[in-house]
Amino acid sequence: MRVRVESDVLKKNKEIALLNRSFLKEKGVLTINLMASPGAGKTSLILNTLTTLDVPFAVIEGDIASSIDTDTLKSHGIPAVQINTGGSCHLNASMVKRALEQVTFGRCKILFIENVGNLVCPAPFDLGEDLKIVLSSIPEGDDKPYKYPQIFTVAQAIIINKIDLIPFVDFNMEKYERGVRAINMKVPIFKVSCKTGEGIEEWMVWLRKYLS
Amino acid sequence: MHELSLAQKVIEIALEAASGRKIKGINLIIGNYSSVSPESLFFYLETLTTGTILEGAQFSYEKVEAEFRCSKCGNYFIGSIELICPYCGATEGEYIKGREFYLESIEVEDEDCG
Repeated sequence: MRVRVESDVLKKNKEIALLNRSFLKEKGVLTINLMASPGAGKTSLILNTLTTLDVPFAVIEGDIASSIDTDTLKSHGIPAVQINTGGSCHLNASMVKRALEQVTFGRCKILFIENVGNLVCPAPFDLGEDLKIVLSSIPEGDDKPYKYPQIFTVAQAIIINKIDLIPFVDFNMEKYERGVRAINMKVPIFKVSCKTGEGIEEWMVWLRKYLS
Repeated sequence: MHELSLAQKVIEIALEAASGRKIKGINLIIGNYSSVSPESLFFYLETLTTGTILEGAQFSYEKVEAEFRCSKCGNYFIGSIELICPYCGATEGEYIKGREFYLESIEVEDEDCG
């Protein structure tokens, strides 16, 4: 006998994400889920963004193991809560919910959630964020939107980091942008270097619109 | 690899829907752009159900192709990796569907009417 279920497999995650979203809305915080492959420069982008923006903020760091990123942020005076997923390749809403209990919000206006470095698994998991941002970097190659299309379809903004390395790497920006546009026509693409600060201002201008 | 946690959720939902009845099959809907690998998911489903009351259940899925609407000519088409509109050759499209991932139905043993 067939029993119709019609149940979203990620339903429970979405329910918890909704709780997170309303909690964060109540706190008046803009929440960003930052997704990228390992080494793209997520922590550097957070550091750059938060030191440039003149607003109170908090950070949740997701890693399989270690507190390296949290220690880096704390050494710059940035309050950060570490989630160690213990093997899981992505954050889910319930991990974030537990981490939110440890965040000191105060007058905090912006919360960055740095997802586990991975271009596949984080894509389908709603954490309760306002914005999903995908970060790429020049050394990863220009084929990433073609190889990992799913994560690029959910992004509300895409940032390409390490543009200072363009002279040394075979990266075809036109090919990369064409791959993104094919699946996410209107998404803004920001070209930045966290090392030199180039392009950060354009990203800031876009982000500030969501803070007002 | 996230398929392991998804497989656990599939089993939870199926058991809840079965309300104690023996499950013979689980039917899923998986979009091509859902970030879910059916092969990996089924591997975990089989691993997790071995030695449980779900052992021997048949897992199947229906694939939903990723569909796009061409930004130039407005026609709908199934997205390939290069994503080129087959009607006009444009390389920009608006995502329409393909991220679905849900448990459509389960097969349970018929209830004893005697």
